[in-house]
Amino acid sequence: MVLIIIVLVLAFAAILCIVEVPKLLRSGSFKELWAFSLLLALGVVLSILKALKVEIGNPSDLFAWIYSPLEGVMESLLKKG
Amino acid sequence: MKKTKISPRQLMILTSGLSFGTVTLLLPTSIAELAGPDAWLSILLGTAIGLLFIWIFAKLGELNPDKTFVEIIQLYFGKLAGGFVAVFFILSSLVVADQGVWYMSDFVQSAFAYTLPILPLNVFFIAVLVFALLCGVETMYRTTEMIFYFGFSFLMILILMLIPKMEPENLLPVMEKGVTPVLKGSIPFLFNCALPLVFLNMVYPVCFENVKEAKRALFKGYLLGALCNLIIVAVCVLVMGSSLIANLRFPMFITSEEIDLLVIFSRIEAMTFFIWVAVSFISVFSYAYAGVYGLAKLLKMKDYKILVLPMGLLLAVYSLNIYTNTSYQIKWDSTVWPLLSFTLGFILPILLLILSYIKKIMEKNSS
Repeated sequence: MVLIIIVLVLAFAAILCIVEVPKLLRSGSFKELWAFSLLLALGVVLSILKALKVEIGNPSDLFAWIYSPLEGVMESLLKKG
Repeated sequence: MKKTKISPRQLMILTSGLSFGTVTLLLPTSIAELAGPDAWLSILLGTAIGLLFIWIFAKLGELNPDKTFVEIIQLYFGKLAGGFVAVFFILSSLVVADQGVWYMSDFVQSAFAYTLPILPLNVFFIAVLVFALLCGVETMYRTTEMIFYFGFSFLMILILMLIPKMEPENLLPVMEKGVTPVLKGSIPFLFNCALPLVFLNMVYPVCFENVKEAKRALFKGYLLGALCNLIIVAVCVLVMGSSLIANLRFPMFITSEEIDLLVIFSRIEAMTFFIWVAVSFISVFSYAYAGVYGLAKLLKMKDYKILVLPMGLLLAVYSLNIYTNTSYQIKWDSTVWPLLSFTLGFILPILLLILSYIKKIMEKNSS
């Protein structure tokens, strides 16, 4: 199962590159190319790590961390009664 | 970037969809827990307060036509600070979109198919989402119009069928413990249904020729969404009683299981499922569009569509553990989300509104 997921993700990325990269190179839009390849690389690396059951962190925790100084506010506001 | 145009009516339907939103299934629980039988009064109060926020969003769009929310942020906060705030806005919209996907798969798993693996389910949902993003706003909003007719009529049919099961004494006593529970009950409504409409500011002033009409449509849509919420919460409380509702996870779903009419119409809770998945698709699309389009605007790209497929991969990866489990979700939604949506939906727009008024006055003085 792990192998299948990794192969599928790599195939997805490869097909995407084959379809999109020549178009971007032809139109000379290098900014788009950078953003596209960075996002895709991030996605591929994270999904392979996820398939190998490595802890990849959680964006919800990031927000929970940002708002941790104000944690008590909502709890006292929403207290029942 | 090619200019897309949508009609005010589509904006109205979209606004109502977003405010009816992903939380419809869960909202009655949190309101009934705080307000008891007065849940419907809480929503009426919340709607009245929410109009203020909608006014802020509408005014912000009117003062800065031809600019999306991310561009307004960058214009007034400068390059560096504006960039940080814009990244925060984009990241939170993507996280909220992913949470919508998580809600969907969690609901399917706990209500219909316990053995279904989550990953394929999420991938299918995200595949449709990616397709919708690739088709663009115009196509999606026409689809929204169609979903609206189905969803709204299904909702009305459900409510008509529940009428024989309603017990008016469930609404009594009115305001037993004074005004405080009613006030507290309006808090979840505001944070889940009124403040997230700030994400529509990515669409609202840019895609319209006549901003005045669009503004009116925004208000109408908000009121329609609030009406739907009011109906759902009132029906849940009327049928099941507030103390029971406060302890259920999907009260709207359980309530629609109660339908038993003329032997033929029973166990039609799948209709609720249809309404909810369709509506939550609308809101997930709005959040994801705000995120992807905002990212493209931030990087000053010509077209956002190139980012859609890689973003879909990222969304699929994180949709599995955006909430680690249900108790994490309940805690996050009750402690972190209100603060986040208050920051994005009130503090940020009101700052931008004040700054744009100052700019307008300065321009008038210099001329």
